[in-house]
Amino acid sequence: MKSILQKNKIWVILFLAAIAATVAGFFIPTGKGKYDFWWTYIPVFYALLGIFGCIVMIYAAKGLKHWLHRKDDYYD
Amino acid sequence: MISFPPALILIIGALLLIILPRQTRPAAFLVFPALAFVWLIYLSPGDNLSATFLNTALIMTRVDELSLAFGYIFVIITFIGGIYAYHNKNTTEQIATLLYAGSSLGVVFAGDLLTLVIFWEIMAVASAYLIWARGTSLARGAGMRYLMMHLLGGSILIAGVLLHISQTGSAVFNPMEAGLSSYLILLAFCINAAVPPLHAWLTDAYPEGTITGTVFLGAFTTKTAVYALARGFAGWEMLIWVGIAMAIYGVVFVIPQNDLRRLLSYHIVSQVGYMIAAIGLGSALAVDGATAHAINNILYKSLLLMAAGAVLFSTGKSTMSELGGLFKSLPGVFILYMIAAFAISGVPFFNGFVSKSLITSAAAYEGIGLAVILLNLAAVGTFLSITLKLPYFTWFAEPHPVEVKKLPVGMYIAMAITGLICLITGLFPQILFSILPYPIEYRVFDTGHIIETVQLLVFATIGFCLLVKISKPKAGVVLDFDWFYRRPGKLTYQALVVPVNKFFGLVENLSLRAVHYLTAVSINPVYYLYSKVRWNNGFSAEKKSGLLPVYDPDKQRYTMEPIVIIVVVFIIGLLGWGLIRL
Repeated sequence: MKSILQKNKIWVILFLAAIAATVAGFFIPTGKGKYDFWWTYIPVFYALLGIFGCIVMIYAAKGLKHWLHRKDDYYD
Repeated sequence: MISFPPALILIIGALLLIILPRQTRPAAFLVFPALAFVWLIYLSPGDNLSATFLNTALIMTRVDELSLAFGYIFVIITFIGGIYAYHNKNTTEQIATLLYAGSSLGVVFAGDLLTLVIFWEIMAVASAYLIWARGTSLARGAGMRYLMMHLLGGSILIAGVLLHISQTGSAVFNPMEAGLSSYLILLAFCINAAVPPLHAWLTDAYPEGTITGTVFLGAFTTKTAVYALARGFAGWEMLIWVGIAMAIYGVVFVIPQNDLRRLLSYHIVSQVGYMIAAIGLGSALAVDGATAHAINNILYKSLLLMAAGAVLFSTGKSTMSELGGLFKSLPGVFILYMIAAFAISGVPFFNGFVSKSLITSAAAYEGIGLAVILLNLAAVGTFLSITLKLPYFTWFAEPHPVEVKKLPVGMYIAMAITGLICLITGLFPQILFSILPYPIEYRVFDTGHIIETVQLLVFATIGFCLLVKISKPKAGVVLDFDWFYRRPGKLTYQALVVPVNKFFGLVENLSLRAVHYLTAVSINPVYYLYSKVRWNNGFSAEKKSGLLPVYDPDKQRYTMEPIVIIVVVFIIGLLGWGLIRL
């Protein structure tokens, strides 16, 4: 058990931070109380935006790379 | 009240550097921004310096809150950049840097459009030198493309300004009304602000600049454009979407980049997008946000570029595919880099958090929900590339064998000062707020907002960790809009420049030969025109010796007998004719 924890230290920390941030989202109102969009009622909205935004962007960039990537001497 | 233009302090400084002893120049470089800073503190909003030129009233210096805010940060970063470049003994580069910084100050304190145009052009030329000074062939090409683009922008700006003056009769730089002249001026500002598709000069040239020069490049050109947009075009709604498109475009194109400084350059596009979106919103909070973001961006982006420059200085390499595992050899640079990276991603209690919050809140107060989501998405992209990917593949990941050179102390000092300012302005945002153009009441450390940000960043980290394998950097170039002038550029060169060059060469050759023969003939006409043998030989003997024979009257004078005989015969004939007529 200990070795698994040590091996995946980053994952453990991330997992704990993710849980803390998500739980906190349920108790503390976001949106500063001054504006009100549909997502201010979803406590985990920013978590979803973070993870899916990240994945979508990495894949978008991968597609872009596939399309626009050339060798270093392309312009020579 | 007459006030001395702050820009002149740096520009005079650039001229003074020439006459100072070489060893004292790096230290003297620091004196001028320090003097300018003191002068800026002494100036107060409302100070003007006016003059009249060609019946047009000019305000060469206009001091107000907006120009002061940009002025402060410009001189601060000039000073810090001077410390960073303390080891650099290239005098021309130091002079170009001071001119560049001075003309940037000139732009932000220009009260009229003509003064602005003049400083705008000096900026373009001075900054191009910072790219050329690298001395590589890549830098020469990129610098030339950079200069061409800025001269184009400058010409568009001049056209817009002249049209504006002829239409309104005034050259004063105030908020613009819609019209052809305003659109031309806006277009010129957008070129300098690197708005896609006019941004490729930036991502093409900045990574090719000198290690110290790129730090200054990243600070001035785009930020003066942000200033000019904030002054002239605040509240132009289209800028909201232009800015958001920039923010997203920048972060998406950042991801496939391999060169550290190119990655950071793409990210400038994204960051300037935030500022332009805020300018488009136009409310007092938004313009404050844009200004605060410009100030913060100059700080942390300079620190990022300094750290990337330090890696390049120390290893000679600047691409992630050739680096890795540098943590053991450059831990200090890593720590300083991470301060800037946290700041730029808007991690709470760093300065980027403050200005990003101002901008997204301004968008939210206007009720533009899509803008809020997209700006947050851009923040995810920033975090992904700047805070996770770049440091991971540079300081960790699998190491590549590189030789690590010791860094000059000045580099560390400059980075430490910048990092410290990032931390202080992040923890005490009131310092930053006190120099913004509009009075501001904003609670930065709202618990809900901090939790939103933490969720965003923690989950983005999870996303990156899941996909780290496919984000591995790869050597090569990623095409962008510069393709449209770089690729056809070759063909255009073949079609337009090569034939003209050849024709010019031909004419030059012919005229030189003509001059050669004319000279030879003038020196010794008899020798050349009548000595047939030589003529037929084509002067080969003279060509070989390289000397033209000198005229010798005894040897080469034409024999007199035929002439005497002709004259005598003519006189006899004349006499005979006279006798007959008698």
